[in-house]
Amino acid sequence: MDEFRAYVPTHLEKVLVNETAQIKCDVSSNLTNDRILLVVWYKDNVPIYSFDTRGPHVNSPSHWKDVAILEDRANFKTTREQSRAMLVISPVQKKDAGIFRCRVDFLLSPTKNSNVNLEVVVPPDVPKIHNEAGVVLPSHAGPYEEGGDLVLICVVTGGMYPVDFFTIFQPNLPDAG
Amino acid sequence: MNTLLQSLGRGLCSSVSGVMGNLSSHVSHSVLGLESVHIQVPVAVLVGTSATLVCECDLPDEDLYSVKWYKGKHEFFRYTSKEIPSIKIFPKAGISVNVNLSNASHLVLVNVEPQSSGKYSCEITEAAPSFHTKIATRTMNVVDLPTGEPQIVDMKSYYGAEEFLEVECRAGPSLPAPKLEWFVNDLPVRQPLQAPSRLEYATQPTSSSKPSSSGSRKKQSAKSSLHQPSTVPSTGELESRENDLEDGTARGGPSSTTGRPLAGVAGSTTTQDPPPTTGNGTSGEQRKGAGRYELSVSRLKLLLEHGHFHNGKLKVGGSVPARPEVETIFFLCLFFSSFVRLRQS
Repeated sequence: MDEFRAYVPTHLEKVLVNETAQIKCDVSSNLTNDRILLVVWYKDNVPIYSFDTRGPHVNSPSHWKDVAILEDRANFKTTREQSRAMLVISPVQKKDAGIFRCRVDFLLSPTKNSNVNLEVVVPPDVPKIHNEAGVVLPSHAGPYEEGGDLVLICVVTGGMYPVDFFTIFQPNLPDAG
Repeated sequence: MNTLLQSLGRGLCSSVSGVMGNLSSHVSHSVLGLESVHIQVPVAVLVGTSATLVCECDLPDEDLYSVKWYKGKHEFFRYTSKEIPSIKIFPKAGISVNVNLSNASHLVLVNVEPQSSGKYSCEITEAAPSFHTKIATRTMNVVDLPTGEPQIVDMKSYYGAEEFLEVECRAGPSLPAPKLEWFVNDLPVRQPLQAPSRLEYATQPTSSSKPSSSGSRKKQSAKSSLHQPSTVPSTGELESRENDLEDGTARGGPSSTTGRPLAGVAGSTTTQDPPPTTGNGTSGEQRKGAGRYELSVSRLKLLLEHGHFHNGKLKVGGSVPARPEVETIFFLCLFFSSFVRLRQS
């Protein structure tokens, strides 16, 4: 399967977790009077969605989805002229990441295969600020002695990418006295 | 004062195909998921002949939706079990399908061309609604044999006792380039010759681009001791290897004479004259089409010591690459006591 995959063009798609993923599929045909017979979506080589417009389903296409993988979050949509199509997954989850192959069987044209590499971006959690003792500080720290040390620890969990830390210091001195 | 070399000789340069000499099918099984797919694609097919590609699995017919064959990423054959007609062909350059002989499991290609070479993938798809699918891929190579026999050129009539014999064997054009081997007295030259006879080198151009091929030959000959004879890149490497004979730019070099320097530089003199003997197989001929027809040239330089070569012979022959047994056709280069003859059989 991997050798064949090398021939199929792959497109990278990034989406933020819990948002809506629109995974495109090339369903266009160069031949007039052509039409789509069948579209099958494979994720990591396993079928997860099929759109069947053959024979009896010509006017009411039959959708099948693997609910174990997609639950009820996915729907395949085409434009009226069947020139564009996409698999819509909403809300997208981290486990949806992977390689999606869209296979389109036409009446007159040769089969079209296209790949989308779906990357689901998971942002990190909200940062938490601790003091030296490990106590989480909800809104303020201290009090601290003047001339003493102030140590704050910023902890970020979750996410997929290395995190950059920024410190914004806004002095807000109390009124004298 | 030179004494004449006294030996009787025939020259052999035997050529074999770069593809391992047989047309048997390549069989393999791959297990994907619950079913196993059996794909069988011939590794090498003779140009102009037919090839049968097999792709089957243990799926009952009612559970089968389609079998598709792709070349690269282009579908050219589709069997759909519940349609009439069940076979659909999409035109693809270099591919001619015999629809009558083809079915769900067997694909028959006829009149294969060099352009038919490539990676073939078979995709078997189960029926609705899930359309589980398996894909297997294999490579098929179209090969073509040389029309003529290999030829030895640059052989002199007389060799002195301390004089190197330096000859060249040419074979082809064929697809892929022929392999060349040298034999002396029916023994492969790679076996060490009995001293003081000595093999200086037996070379074969290995580079792919024209300008550098003579450069690489120079590198080869920089090694002074016994060379690995011939060995074209093995089966796996069927990439194009251009040969500087192909474009004819190197034609018209000086013909070899006795004045050839004995320094071990193999490729610096590139004699491109047609072989002196009338033979089939014009050097430099290249057939039309997308195939990479190539010639092979091997230079042999060795020192023949009179005393050890009672019937020293250098044979020239060629073998038909893709037939099961190797046929050797001999050209005789005879040398013996008082004279040396060059003869073709």
